[in-house]
Amino acid sequence: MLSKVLIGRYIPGDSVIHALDPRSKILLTVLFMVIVFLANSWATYITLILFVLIVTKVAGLSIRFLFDGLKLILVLFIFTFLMHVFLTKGGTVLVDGGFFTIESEGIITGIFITLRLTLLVVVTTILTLTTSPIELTHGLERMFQPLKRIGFPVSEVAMMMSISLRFIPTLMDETEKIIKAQSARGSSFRMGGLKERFQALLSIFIPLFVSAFKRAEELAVAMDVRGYNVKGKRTSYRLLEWKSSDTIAIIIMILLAALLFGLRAIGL
Amino acid sequence: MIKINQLMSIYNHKTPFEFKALHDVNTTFEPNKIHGIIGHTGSGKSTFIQHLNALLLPSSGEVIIGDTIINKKTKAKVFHKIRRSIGMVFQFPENQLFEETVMKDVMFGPLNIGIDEETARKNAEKYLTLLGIDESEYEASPFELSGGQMRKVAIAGILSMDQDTIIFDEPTAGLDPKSHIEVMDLIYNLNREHGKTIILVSHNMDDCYQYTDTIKIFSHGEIVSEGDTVDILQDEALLTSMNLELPKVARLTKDLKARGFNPNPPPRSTDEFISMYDMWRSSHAE
Repeated sequence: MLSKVLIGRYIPGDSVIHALDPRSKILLTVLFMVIVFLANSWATYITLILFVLIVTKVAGLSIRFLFDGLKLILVLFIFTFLMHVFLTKGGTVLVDGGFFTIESEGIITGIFITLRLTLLVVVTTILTLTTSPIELTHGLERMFQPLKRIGFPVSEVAMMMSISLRFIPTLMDETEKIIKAQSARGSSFRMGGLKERFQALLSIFIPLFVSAFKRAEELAVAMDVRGYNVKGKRTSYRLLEWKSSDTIAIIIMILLAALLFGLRAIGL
Repeated sequence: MIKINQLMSIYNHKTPFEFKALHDVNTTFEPNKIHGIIGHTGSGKSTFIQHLNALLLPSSGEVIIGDTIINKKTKAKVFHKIRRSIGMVFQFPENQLFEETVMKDVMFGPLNIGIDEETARKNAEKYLTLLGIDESEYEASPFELSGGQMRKVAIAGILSMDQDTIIFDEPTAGLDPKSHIEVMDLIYNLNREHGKTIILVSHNMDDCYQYTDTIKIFSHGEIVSEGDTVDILQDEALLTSMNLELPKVARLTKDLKARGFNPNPPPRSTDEFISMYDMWRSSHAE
């Protein structure tokens, strides 16, 4: 069940997208998120969808697999869609159920907003699927380097981030193990009354916290032993290098934005 | 009787992480015996045992426990029934402790599967005593105990559910030598004195040789060899081909064969070996 969670997962590969500098990938993602908000019509949304599909293909990810990962947040999508269907008014009345009406504007806005959410989630998923967590934090660390001047602890925050990212899969494995161990003891949070379900949750969270604290302590000691020092000047094994492909990618993204502005201008 | 037919198990089916952990496993576990399962890390043994109490469902094939069949379509309702007949002690079971007191933690399992409070307490006391946990510790927090004690409390937590079959996954991993022997002796007694069927997953060839009745060897998601412990664990050619070692006692007995030491049945534990060897020596001296 937990293994289906795609957010934060990384699939190693050798595509052009994988090879991009993490900084440019972060920048591209942010740019795309802004561009998504430019879309306001069928033509603009279809352009963006096509773009995302092409990127997915280039990155060597299977579209079906990407959508499988989206299933988890399906509830959110359905909820947003229904909110708009029932609450946005305008256009022709399609259904008149007495105390509520469904109007054409509502359905169209519902679809658009859901598409917008999907695009946002998919593009960030592509970012994490093609960039290893280490690269990602490394990229962020470099991007926020200027903040150091005003005393913001960039390196420490980056270290904290990479440690948390590093332990997400470990904690997930741990959670799965504990859930299994407690299931074998007949515990179930899908059956029984409220009290039993609460008890079942406790039986998972307490051991999880105990082991997380134990791990944190062990890691802290291990880092101490290897001489980790907050004040120390840290160098990096992997150096980030801005390549021409990164520049090209940024240009493509700007062209996409221009295309969207164009489509809007001619009223499509 | 537990019967496994053409069991296949695939993780993360149809994703880039797809992994076939078991293919075509067929075997049976006879009741009232101690069954050993050995194999290298990643051979599929952990996946296999999780199928035995429906923590994992088969991708295809079936597991038959008594008159219950577990296959791809088994519903959650059946799980309770299965967990009432098969208990599972995971690796490092002390990681599952969570209650305020030892007693409450041990009673968690039995109460979950519908055993009444009084019987649950009786079971808890019975197995805590069997594991050598003193009455004065019943109201202590399980997190205040030593590692070995915690392991024993956790094991008692499973045993008090009183199933007929208990699966132990590496029950002695990380234990001190004294606790190691205590836990292995307990497992042996559960079978010999309390009539439980035991399935023991272990890396420890010596434990397997000393305590089990049958052995199944897993490799690359399949059972490559199975049979009586004495037959399998004395078969040096087979074990070598599996990259496994002969149990120490079996090795010594084999080495001494050339000198005429050939007891039948062969010794299975160090103690047995020493007493048999002593007997053989003194009879030879005469």
